[in-house]
Amino acid sequence: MPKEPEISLTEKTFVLEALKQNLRVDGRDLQSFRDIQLTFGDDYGFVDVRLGKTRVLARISAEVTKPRPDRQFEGMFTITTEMGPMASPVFEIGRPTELDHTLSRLLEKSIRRSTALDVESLCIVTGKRVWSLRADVHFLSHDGNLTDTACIAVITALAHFRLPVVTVSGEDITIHSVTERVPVPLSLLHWPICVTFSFFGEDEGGDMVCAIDATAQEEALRMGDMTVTVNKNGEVCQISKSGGVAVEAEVLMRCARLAAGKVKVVDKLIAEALREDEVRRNKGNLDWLKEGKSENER
Amino acid sequence: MSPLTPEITLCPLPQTDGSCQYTCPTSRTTILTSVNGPLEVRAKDELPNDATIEVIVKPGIGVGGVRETRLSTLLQTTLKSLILTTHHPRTLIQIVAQIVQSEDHTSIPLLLSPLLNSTILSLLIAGIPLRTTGWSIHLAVLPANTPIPAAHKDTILPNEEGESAEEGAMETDEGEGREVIVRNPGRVLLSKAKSSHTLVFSKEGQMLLIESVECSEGVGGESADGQGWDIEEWLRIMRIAKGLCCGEGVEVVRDALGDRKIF
Repeated sequence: MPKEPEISLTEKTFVLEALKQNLRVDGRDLQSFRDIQLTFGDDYGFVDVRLGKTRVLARISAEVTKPRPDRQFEGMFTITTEMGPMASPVFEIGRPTELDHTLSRLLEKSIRRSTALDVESLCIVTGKRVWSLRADVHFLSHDGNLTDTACIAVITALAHFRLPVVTVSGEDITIHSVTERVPVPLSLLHWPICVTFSFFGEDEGGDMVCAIDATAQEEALRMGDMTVTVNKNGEVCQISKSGGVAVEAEVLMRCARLAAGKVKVVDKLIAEALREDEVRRNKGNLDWLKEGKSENER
Repeated sequence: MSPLTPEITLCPLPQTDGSCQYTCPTSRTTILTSVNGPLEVRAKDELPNDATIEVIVKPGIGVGGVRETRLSTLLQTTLKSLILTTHHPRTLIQIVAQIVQSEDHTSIPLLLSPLLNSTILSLLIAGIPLRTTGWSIHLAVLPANTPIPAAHKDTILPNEEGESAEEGAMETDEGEGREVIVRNPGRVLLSKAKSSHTLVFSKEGQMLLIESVECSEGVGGESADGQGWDIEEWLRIMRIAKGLCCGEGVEVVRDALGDRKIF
């Protein structure tokens, strides 16, 4: 099957030398993201995230199921990621790559294990009926940094999703359609956002060269990477560094601090995009939507 | 631009050889397709004299199942008669279709026509040699006296006797009317339909695909209740579809490609 085209020696030297002088091929500096574009669809819980040439779709869907016998008060939440040849011909259907595994593991750790979503709020009738939520992540175009893009996509889609209202009378439940009752947002406790750092070895001064939001070219040349997941309050949800070049504790601290700053900006951007979409959907009339909120202002 | 013209974006994915995003104007089904090829083919799929065509349909919700396999088989067989496979023997032409948005992710009739149109456009953009181009249309037959919302009035197709759509609809109010045929219906209209037909015609008017389904919702598929269709009705549908695919369809493709001068 097709392989990723190998980067020539000249190109490799050029990119690495440039990085050591704080320069990048696309003109960004080492500590900045590419432009993040968020587009919403016709229905709730669907978002299209673009980060430069990288493009990821996320869709949230919900159905009513029976809870697991050992967790009767909790709803279910699963994240499915599958890379296909659409993102890049290197990815094959039914044969997950190493990137596939690390990515789904990372999303699991960042979003599910950090309890971003309150699964107890998905319970309808204890032990009988719960909401089962699924997030489908589709990778459309691969130009590096799929992890951060996928994380932003899932979080934005969760924040955008509205759950239909359910009324319970005894054992019977009635699910009201969107036109009948205003659907309610999910209770998201915080928004964990991933920031991936790529390491390119030490420069003349002995400092580690690290860049965020690497493109596919930079990813192919990097010597190691680390993903830090932080929320806007600066709480670190997880740090993952599997192999690659050794990094000093000092560099790690610097990265974590930088990530906290970046996450604040991304968080604001997502909140703004969500608000704009809400206004567009309701044509300026926001009063009736406020009644449909289940969470308190924090 | 008329309200019945689909929204087409060509080459939305820069990493692929050819791609297309297609939104059906009335059912709001959005499909994204990408084409890569000719690529190296797996040894077990290699054909000595032809290119292998692989079609992968990825659902919007969940993982692919029987429905997706059915859709990809329909696509693959239709495209086989369009692509000049002998031009690239022992290679692979890989087509991936992602269902982005649909009113009903489980309905094959709603998805099939946009999938076909989007794939054909991406093949043209990818520069895959084609015998001719094709276009697909989805028609639904509604029983007489079906109330049609004003927003969907322009999807009603005129009867062949030359009377306009408005007159036809009016007549049904008086009770002696006949079935109404609408194009690319959405989920609501399709649920009221007697039968649904997806047809593909080449630019020259050759029929490439027929996918007709009887829609007897909730009556267990019994045909005695006036569902289904007879040969007269089907021939009428075929004539209408042919007219639309060879007229309007060709125009849409031509407009979308603009000055790319592919055909």
